[in-house]
Order: sequence, then structure tokens, then C-alpha cells
Amino acid sequence: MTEQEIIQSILNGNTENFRLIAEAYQSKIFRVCMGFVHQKEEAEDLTQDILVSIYQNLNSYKGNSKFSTWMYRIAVNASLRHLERKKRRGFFERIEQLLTGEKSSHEINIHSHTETPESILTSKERSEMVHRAIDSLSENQRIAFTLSKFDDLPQQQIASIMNSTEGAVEALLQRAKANLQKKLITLHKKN
Amino acid sequence: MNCSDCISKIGSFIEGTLSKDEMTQMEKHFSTCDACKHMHDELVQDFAILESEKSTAHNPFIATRVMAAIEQIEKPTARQIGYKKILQPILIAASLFIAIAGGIKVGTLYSKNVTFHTETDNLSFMDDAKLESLQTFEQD
Repeated sequence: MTEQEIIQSILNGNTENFRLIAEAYQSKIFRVCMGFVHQKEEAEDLTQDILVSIYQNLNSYKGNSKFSTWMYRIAVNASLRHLERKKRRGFFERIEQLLTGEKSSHEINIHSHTETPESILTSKERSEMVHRAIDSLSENQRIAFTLSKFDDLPQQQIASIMNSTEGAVEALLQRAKANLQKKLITLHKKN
Repeated sequence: MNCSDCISKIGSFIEGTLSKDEMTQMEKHFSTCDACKHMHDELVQDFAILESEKSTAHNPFIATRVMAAIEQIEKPTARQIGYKKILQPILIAASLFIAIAGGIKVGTLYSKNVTFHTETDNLSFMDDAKLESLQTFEQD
């Protein structure tokens, strides 16, 4: 059964066939989400929401682009919307944490039992620093960087997803890497 | 190679995208400059974080969770279809039956209890013998 046939059968009411799409693309979408949110559980929830959204909007896929390209567009847009909502919620969460003294779920990471508290702290600080550097990239640089770094997509497909040209994506990636390196070096020099 | 050149190329050096000649120059600089070597080591660890995030394994049941979520979304629709196909015709038929049966019942009650009396019917109940005698008036 081809991808197009699976999509058609889902549209004809064979909902169970969406499992094939979900299983084929869950890892790809999860990696995109990890690139944007950097936290496993949050990325898993976001991946689930994105796949449900893909199911709900399946009838709007006209086949003008590759299905994976269409799907990546939905994933990127949903991730950006999620970050925007998170940013708005952040202010109230910080107040709540100050009042209750509790840690947010985003700050709790799983560490190996062999790691010492000191190394966990150093690793956490380093992770936060890298995330800050990625988050400081412009939206387009961040999209191109995430799709390239986390999903290993070729520049041609990134260009299709971003409705851009290969040349523009190449320039975006170069600037993203240079800015990221610059930012990290500055942060290390500060420490 | 000076430190500024070296720092600007560290990312590409770690990625291994520099030319063979540039790679050799970088390595040579690292062997003589502790500050650049330290920065190189720091960035290697930073990029390792990205690699570890990239290779994070996800919950293998995401697809199952998605299918469960879709089932929940589809449930109300199935109910609506059930209502339209089965319950709605039954309710319409029952309403019509109640209306017709009620109409017949009300009509029957009306025809049994209400009787029309004509002028002659009323007169037929009059018993002339029981009527007050004219003589009574005469005595007064």
C-alpha cells in the first residue's frame, strides 16, 4: 500500500490505517519537537498533539508537495505555537514556583545514578546554556538549524518546508551555526 | 594561525568540514594555545548535548496514544450518527403516534360528554301534569 493509498483509505473512513502514518513519522516529528523544546516528555506530548492535528487536517493535504514536507510544516508551526504559549505561561509559572518553591517539570531531568551532584549541576548548567544559545537564534535560523541538525534533512527539503530556496537555506544554516558558536563562546568566556 | 582565526573556525573543525590543510593548522594551534584548546573542549561538550538530545529515544507507544486520542475525537461523531440513524426516526414516529392517539382520544371524550339539546328536546321533558295548577292563582 503506497502512502497516497493509505491517506485515501483514511479519508474514506478507515481510521485505523492512520496508525501506519503515526508509526512511520513519530520519530521524525519527535526529533523536530526535541530540537524546539529540548525536553523528552514535553516533546512526546507535542508529537502526539501534532499527529492528531495531522489526522484532523488530512483532508487539506492536496498532494502538491511531498507528504513528509506537508507534515514537517505542520510540526514546525505547531512547535513554534507551543513555544509562544509556553513563553506566555512562563511568567505565571515563575510566580507559582516562587510561591510554592516547587520545581517545574521542565527542570527535572533524568540523570544516571553514577553521576555526582556536582556533575549533574554542571551538565544541567551546560544544557541550559546550549538551549539559551539555540533559543536566541532568529526564528528562520532556528527552523533551518533544527531541521538540519535534528532530522538530518537535506537543504532541498528544508527549502520546500520553509517555502524558500536552497541558497537561502544554505545561508540561513551558515548564519545559524556562526551565531550559535559565537553565542556559546561568549557564554563560556562569561563563566 | 592566530587565536581569532582559530576561534572563528572551531565549529567547522569540530564538524570536520575544514580542508585538510586547515585541519592541520588548527591542530597545530591547539597544541600551542591552551585557551583555544580549552574553548575547543568546551564546544565539543556543548555539541555533544545536541547529539544526545537528537538521539533521545521516545516512548514507543506514541502511535498507540495517538490512536486512542483519535478514537476519543471520533466517538461523539459515532453517537451523532447513531442518533440520526436510529433515535431520531423513533422519536419522530413516537411523537406522531402520541399526537394522533391524543387527538382521537380527545375527540372521543368530546363526543360522549357533550350532547346537543334542541328546543323540542327540552320541551319533551316538561310534564304538564306537574306544572303548577292555574287554580292556585285563582284562590289568591
